[in-house]
Amino acid sequence: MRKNILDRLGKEWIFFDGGTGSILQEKGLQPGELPETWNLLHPEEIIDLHLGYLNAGSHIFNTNTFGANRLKFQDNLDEIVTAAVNLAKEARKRSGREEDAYIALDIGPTGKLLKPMGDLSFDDAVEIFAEVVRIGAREGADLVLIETMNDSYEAKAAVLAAKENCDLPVFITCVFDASGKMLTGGTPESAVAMLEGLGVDALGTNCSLGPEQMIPIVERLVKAAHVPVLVNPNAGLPKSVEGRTVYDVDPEAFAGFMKTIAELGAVGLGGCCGTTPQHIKNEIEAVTSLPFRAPKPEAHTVISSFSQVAEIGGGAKPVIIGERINPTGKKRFKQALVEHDIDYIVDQGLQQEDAGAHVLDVNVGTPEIDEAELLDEVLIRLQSVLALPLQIDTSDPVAMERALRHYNGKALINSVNGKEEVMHSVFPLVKKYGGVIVGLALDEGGIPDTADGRIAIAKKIYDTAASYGIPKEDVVIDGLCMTISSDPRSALVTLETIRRIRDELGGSSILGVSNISFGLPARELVNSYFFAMALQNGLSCAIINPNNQAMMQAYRSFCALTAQDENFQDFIGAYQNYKTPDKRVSEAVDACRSRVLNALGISAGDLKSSGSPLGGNVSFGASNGGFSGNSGGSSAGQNGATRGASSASSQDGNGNTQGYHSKLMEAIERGMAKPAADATKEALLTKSALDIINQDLVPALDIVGKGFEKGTLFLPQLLMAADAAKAAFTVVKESMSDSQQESKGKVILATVKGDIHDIGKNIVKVLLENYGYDVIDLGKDVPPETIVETAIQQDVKLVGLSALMTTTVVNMEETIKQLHEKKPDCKIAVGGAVMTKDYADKIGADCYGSDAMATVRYADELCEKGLL
Amino acid sequence: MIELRQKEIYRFLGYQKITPSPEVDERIKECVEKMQKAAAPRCFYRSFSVKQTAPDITEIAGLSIKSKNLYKNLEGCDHAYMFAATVGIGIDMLIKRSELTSLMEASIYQAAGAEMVESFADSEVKKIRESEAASGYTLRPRFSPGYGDLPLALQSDFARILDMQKWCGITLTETLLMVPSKSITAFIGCTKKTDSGNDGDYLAKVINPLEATGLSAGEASGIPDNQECNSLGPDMIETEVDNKIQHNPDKTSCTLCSKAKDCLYRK
Repeated sequence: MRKNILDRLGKEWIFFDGGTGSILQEKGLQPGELPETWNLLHPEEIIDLHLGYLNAGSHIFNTNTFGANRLKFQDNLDEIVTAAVNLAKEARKRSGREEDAYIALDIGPTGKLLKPMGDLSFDDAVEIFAEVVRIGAREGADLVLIETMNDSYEAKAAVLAAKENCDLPVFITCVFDASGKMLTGGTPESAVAMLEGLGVDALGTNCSLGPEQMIPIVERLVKAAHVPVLVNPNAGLPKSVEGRTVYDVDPEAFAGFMKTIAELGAVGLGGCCGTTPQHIKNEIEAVTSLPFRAPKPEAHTVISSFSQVAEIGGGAKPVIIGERINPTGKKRFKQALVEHDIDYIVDQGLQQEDAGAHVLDVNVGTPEIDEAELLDEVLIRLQSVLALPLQIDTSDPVAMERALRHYNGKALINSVNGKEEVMHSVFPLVKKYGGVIVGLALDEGGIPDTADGRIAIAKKIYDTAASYGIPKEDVVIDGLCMTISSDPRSALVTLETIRRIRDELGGSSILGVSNISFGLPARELVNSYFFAMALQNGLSCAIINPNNQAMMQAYRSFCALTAQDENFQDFIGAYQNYKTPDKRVSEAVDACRSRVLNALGISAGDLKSSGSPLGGNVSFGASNGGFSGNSGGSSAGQNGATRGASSASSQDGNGNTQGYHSKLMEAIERGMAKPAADATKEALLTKSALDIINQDLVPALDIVGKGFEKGTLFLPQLLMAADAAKAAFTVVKESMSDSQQESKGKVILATVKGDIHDIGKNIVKVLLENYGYDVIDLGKDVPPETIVETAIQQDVKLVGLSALMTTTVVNMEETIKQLHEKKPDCKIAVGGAVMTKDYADKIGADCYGSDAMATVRYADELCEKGLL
Repeated sequence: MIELRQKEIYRFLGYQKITPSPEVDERIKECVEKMQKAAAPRCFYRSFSVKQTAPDITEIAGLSIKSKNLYKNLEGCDHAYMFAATVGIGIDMLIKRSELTSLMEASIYQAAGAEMVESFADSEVKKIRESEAASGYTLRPRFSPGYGDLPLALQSDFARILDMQKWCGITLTETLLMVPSKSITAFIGCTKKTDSGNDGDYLAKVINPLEATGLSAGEASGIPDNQECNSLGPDMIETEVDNKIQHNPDKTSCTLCSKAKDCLYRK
């Protein structure tokens, strides 16, 4: 009776087989011919292939099903996979290895890249793999081997498909290049975190590199992994010699390297492309000369994104979790959720990443929306543009499961608590999808007001997690921050709790730090000092606002003081130009003073030479009187003065004839985003949001737009101005989040089906938005039907289409035809470099957008006529 | 590290003779630094014998391709490479992120990404050229599916024959677009004939099938070879920067492209 492979792997040397494709090519497989067809066309050759490896001594050998999926075999997938398993069985029988050889159902990548980079959805990928798994398991494979995975997201889809559709052991090997990266950026550490979370039985690496180049990757895998590590290298790197692909590492050299790899702690060894039965035979001889030694994995708490890991506790630097993606107490954020403004939400994430967050909390729970749907969408968008690991924050188990399923990594999960019901609904999800769970130290009895009570609940959470097979390392205890304004001793209880989590329980802790000061003034003072105290008491992760300077100053100082910032790199990077608040104020006053003097036509030098030292108060008084007529008495003199100064300088600068030219206009024209945002904030003190849009924002864009149309300005300048206008607009929008905003009209923009060149469309989008239009951006590669449906559903009167390839203009024509048929009152503007006026007319477009401004002009025209 | 030609980036961004301002230059520099870190260049190619038995029909790697332009490109070649190169998905990620934060940066990533894959492909082709020169062969300019009358549908054959997904990580969408987007596939002919030395002689003399014929794009493939546009040289399809044909910049500057007037990158 054959032992279960899991009873052997990790306890003795287990050997895999070698290359398949390269052997079949030797047997006559043509370039581009699908190897799996040989299961039906040349079954004896496939048996022969297996026999080669079985006779060489491989324990695990792969069915010839690497590329067998419904994308490549629409009609006969079942037949191909069934034949493959049966040929493997036949080979095992003929070799007399019934007792100790195992048939691995071999699963390779789909050949497609998953969304959002590619066009295959995660759920479809799972189903594609599931189909193969079901057939292979039904036919009697002994295990599933997912291999040559070069995208972590696809790897996750394959593992889920295997776990959900059979009870067989699941092994997986991924491809890393010489720099240790998967194609989509994954590292050995990030892959291990995610795959172990999903419950694979063994993992490792194969293909791409020869054994020698794989050594550093194997070292990293063995260090990170807690399950057995598998290594199946190529026989060196492929070379094209006289039209044939050849590999440069011979069996003897291969065996030598594999011995080294075995000594590093890999316990399952075989080969991949270019390796032959001889390679495997030599490998087995070399490796079995070594005594078997099972590696002793270290426990650590790790979460991951598709490409990064964050280690929690265990001597790692404390982790900063950005709290800003959360509607609690934020009007603008709630508005974004209700309006489905995902860009705004994602931008909150990007800002926190720039500010130094290591992990982002994602909470989109608000009563008016479908949380499961929105959380899923936000999570997918976030992980497509940033590489930080995410903390999924929801109390809705349905939303949580969906987010965990689609998360490309091992998430931090916020949260469970000591209540039985909560634990029993969430732990199964953690077990299935992996993740590190935040356990709040409260239960049915409420929040204990002593550290003893909280520690007792922490123990209960650990124990219950363990009963689900979730190790202590995957639980982080929230010691709970309660405001000191209601109980002056509460901070002390919290600090004692986290200290004891570390010292008594040997666990990791987390706190939502800023709760501590609720109800007090100057909260950042209390928060930042408490934060430093908590860190000193062993806090492993902190949920804070990383945009708050005081908090990050406390953090960076703490790390510098506790030898957790090598060479003070972080600290110096952040504060090398640090100025004390006094210094900042005095510099601002000086700058203001010199601007005023400039505006008055007096240079500081003149004053000095005339021997009259200038007092700050004197010049300030002058500026208020002379220039701030429009700023009102209550606003700071600085505002009036700078606005006056810039209006003077711009008149002689650009020779503009307009009488009015604000600081904001200048910032936009010069394409400076940060100054534009600052100038907008300043202007909001004295002007209404709408006035700013009409008097500053749009006129400035007009000046740039005209320069662009005339050819005196180039695209980059237009784009920089658009970026700056967008930054200003964001500030304006923030201020208007209370009031209903007026839109000039809705416009759909899309790059047509088949085309992914969408930069032009994106430029038009930003310009339209800056000019006050509500843009529905359908993205790129958009089918005509989607555009038509959206136009009808939302009653949109203007559609902008772009196509940049000659081959996709036909799809533009088709889209126009369908729109004219089904939404006759809708106007269509087209653009893109292959477009000409003639051709635009010919395909029935209403407007030819010759450049980025043309669509804006056309929209304005329609708007004036009342057609939008 | 892939050497990028600053002039080419300027050109994609629309600058012709003038030099961008120091601010723009600084932004380009910052972006290029990030790109160099994000790039994961990969390349794979195989050589196959070429037969041209009937007019306009080229047989290679088990394919029989009807294309006047390819026929001309490979005429006199006894073998040709099928070639694929990419600078990796990291560049697409940078583009995607910058689309949210800065259009300026997005356009720089687009422009410099196009230059990056061109430059990488050039450096790989140089290696092929050197090894072929040893046996007396010279190379024809790269010729890509989707260019001239060569059908884009050939992308699937490239994917299959070169196993592009495995060796380069290049995948195709249902509409035959390559992901990563900054990727190139091409035929590269090898000949012992003494060539004219003018790459343009072996490239399609059309820029835009629409412009040449006024037909829809579908109808327009298969343009007569002698039907020239009003352009002076063998232009590339300016907009398909990812798939464009290697050309001699001196002779075929973007400014000569007859689409120059409407080209997005030149505005």
